[in-house]
Amino acid sequence: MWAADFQAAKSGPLGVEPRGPVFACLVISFLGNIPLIFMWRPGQKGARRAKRRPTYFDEMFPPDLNYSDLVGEEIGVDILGNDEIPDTYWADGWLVGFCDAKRVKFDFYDGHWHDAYPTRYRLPDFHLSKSLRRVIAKNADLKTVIRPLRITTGKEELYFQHCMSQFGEVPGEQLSKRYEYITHNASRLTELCVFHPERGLIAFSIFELGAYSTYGNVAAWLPADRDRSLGTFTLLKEVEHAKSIGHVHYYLGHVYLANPSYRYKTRFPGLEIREHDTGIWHKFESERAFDLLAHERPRQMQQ
Amino acid sequence: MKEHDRLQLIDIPRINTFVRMSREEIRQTLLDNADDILSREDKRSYILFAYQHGLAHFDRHFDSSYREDPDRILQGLIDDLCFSGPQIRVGFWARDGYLDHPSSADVPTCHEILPPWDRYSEAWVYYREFRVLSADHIDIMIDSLTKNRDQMPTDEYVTELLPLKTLSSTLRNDPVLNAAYIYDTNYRY
Repeated sequence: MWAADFQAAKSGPLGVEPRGPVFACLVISFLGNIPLIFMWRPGQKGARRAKRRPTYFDEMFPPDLNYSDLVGEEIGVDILGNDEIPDTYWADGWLVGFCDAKRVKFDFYDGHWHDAYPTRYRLPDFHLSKSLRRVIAKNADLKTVIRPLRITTGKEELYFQHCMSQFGEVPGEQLSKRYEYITHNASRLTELCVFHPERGLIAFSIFELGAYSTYGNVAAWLPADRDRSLGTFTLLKEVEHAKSIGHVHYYLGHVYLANPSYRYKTRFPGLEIREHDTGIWHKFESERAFDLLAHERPRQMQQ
Repeated sequence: MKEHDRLQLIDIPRINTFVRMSREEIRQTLLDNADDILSREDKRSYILFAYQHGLAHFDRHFDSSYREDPDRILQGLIDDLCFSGPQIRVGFWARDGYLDHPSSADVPTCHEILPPWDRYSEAWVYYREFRVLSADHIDIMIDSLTKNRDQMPTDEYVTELLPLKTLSSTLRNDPVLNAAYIYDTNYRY
């Protein structure tokens, strides 16, 4: 669908082109006094294209731009078949799927393209601050369980409610579709469910366990329980689990500060971001990471 | 739903006994149950194939296998002798009711019952990821199945319901037994 929209956006300049003067006019009169008028005016092909307002995709994909150069890279992988582990791909900034891997370099937000950097946390340095400890204490009355991922109707409904309240739109893909091949995945797809003693399932998160690192995928919680900071709570529980099984890194997608939805990722200790050009992971406190994030430049892609 | 999770009867006290057994006790248990295990179609104690060629042959293979990977032999023994009865397929609605219920957060896991397998052992690759359920959990599955019977063909409903009801009554009659919810997994590390 994206490719089709991309082609539609590239299909030509917007607006109405100037029309030429009427070159010929032929009036045929028959059937009494009813005239039929034929007019012809010269012009370029497509000159009469209806006026169309710029769409989201017009801004996102201006003409003459290559989609793959913009957003990132995509390759096919067979991790199980080649006896590999997903951790090596995650360390190179890839998002690993069932049979493909994507490396997001840019993201579109607020009318501009932004550099997006893969993130991970060094788990030995992940020490809980006072505010994070408070989140755990606040949710001490809840029951949590970590187990192999299984998509249920309760999770689908919760995810739908979460997307509607957080992003104002329906989920782009159902969980059952997104996680269709759970048992064939290269990593261990795992779920963390949070149960309220009376109201049942109020939050869940999905994460992947590799050989020595963990990758956080999705978290959803009931809009009514926003005060409990359940997104942070599930992340802390995932990190706790990852540390308990001896993992060294926890990956959490990508980050850029222009989008406020991603800023929460900078609240946790031990953060590193990966520079695309060099492939080096920089500590969040380092000068280079500061350069990359603080002086992040919106990309004006108009050519 | 492409995962084929199963339910099977499990004897937890027997697992606890096996976990504490010495090398010699494991060997003796294998020999005592050799005929029973070998007669099965699905077996995990592959070492017993050597028993068909005589005791000396078995002992030689058992010594080398136990030296190389003791966890694998113990895990095979647990799979063969501590799980019993037919494996019951868990359908979507039965699974749905159980997993969305808060009581599913309190069940004992295989990680609490089994010893921590060595990461380099085959036991780590082939162990069954399971949760230990009681008759109440099976009843939750039955309730969910009944509640959503309109969502499935009648024959499928009956096919799923009857084994669950049988399992529930078996568990209520024998307090030693539990049901293992065995996840369909493909773990390698």
